Amino acid sequence: MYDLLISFLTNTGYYFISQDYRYILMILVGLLFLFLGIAKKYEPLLLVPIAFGIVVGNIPFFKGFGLGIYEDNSVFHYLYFGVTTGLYPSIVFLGLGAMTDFSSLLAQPKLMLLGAAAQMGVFFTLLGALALDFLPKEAASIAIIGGADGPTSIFLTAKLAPHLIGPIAIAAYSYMALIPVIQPPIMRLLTTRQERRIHMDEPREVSKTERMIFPILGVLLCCLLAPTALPLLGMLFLGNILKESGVVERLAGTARSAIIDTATIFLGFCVGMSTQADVFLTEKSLLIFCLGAVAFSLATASGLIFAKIMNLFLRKKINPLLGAAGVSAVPGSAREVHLMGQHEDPSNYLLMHAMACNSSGVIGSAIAAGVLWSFMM
Amino acid sequence: MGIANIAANNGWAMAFLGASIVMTGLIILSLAISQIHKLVDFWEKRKKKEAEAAVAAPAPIVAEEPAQVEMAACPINLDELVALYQPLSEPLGSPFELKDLYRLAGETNLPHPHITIRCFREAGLLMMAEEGLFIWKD
Repeated sequence: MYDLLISFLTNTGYYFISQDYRYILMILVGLLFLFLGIAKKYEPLLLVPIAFGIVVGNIPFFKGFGLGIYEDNSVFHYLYFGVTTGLYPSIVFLGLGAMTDFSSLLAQPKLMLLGAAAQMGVFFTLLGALALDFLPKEAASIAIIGGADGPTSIFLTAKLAPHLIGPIAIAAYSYMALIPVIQPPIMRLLTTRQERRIHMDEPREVSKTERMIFPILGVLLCCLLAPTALPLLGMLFLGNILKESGVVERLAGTARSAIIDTATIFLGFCVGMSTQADVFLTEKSLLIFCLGAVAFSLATASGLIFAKIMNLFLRKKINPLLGAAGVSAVPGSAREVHLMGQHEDPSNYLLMHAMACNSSGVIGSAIAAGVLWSFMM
Repeated sequence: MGIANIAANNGWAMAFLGASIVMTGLIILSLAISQIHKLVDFWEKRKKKEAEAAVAAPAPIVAEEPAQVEMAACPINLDELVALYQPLSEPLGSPFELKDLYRLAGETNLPHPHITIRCFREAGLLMMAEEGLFIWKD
């Protein structure tokens, strides 16, 4: 009986955790993320499933029972299939399309350039990652963190460097959640108070026909340019035409509620679970985290600087803060831009304009991912 | 390691080309969407013009088709009807558009306003003043 008890005890998580402190560290990280998501409300929709996934994924177990996310035939492995194949990101994009109103972008097409400019951070980081001796496919996967788009980062990494999904996804989502901490200092650094107080004109009214034409035009122009972006942009524009056509409201409603919520839960939870300490806590992961922060900061800075460059040529100046919303962290970065504009001048409403940049950032980062993927083929 | 690694992996070309493609793609998309509303406006104006022309132009009467003859039959008391329609058009000023007169007649619940207005045109009681605008015969 004593032997049986000892055998049982050596198979418990307590025993394994006492043998490897890294699990404790990761569980603490998970708890910290849970705190940030629940108490501080930093992107709770993403952070809560991810954080809980980190906690669950770092409960050590006896290998070979078919329990872990990296073990064949485990339940979690099947759920993780949606991440490694890029299925969940595509479904998230479908829901995102069904949620997004592109009116503000259609009313001010020039703001789309800010979404493109923010993607420059992706390509700067590509150079940085290559310089740090990452393989080209790994470097491309790290660089896309700069797009600040979790699903896109996961999608590209699943295609190019599946062994890095954990750290890249965690980095991407962490920085999305930490927008209120990362972006404001960069915005303040690169803009003057006077620039931050620039008011934008009220966007014009956009007709239903225009809104309906946009997803068709978008899918044709973007996906013909970068067909590798089809799984993301095809789904994004499908969701959007479901919404704008007005004839399949039931489908659009399901896409923007039950479908995207289900995918987000599984995506977040599986990404969290993939941070199993023995796989996740490596020197490379730490480097990826640092590069991710650089990528995100560079993307924010690129948008801001490009907006200032645009102002050199525009008669009616745009508020350069909008450049920071060119990253595709919807709607976090748009909200941050709006809040900073209001902080400088309470009568300044930038939200609608920032959402235009944000939605173009979503398209831009998906094109960037498609382009990077095709470069690596 | 370092810059040499970037060059060895074709990094400069990938970064430059990648950034250019993304920028070009979004510039093209922004140019295209900046034209959508112009196309939509043009299309809607065209449709509106067609509709106006349909109201303004007298429908051809084809004697062989009895149904159309029946539809086109004018009321015999046109002068009495003019007395009803003329005050209606006063707020519109002179000249006025037939579609406005038609709308007011509909709002006042006058019977068969479309046929009546067409008959006014055919009888010369309503005369074209300029492109798409009409006046009453003195």
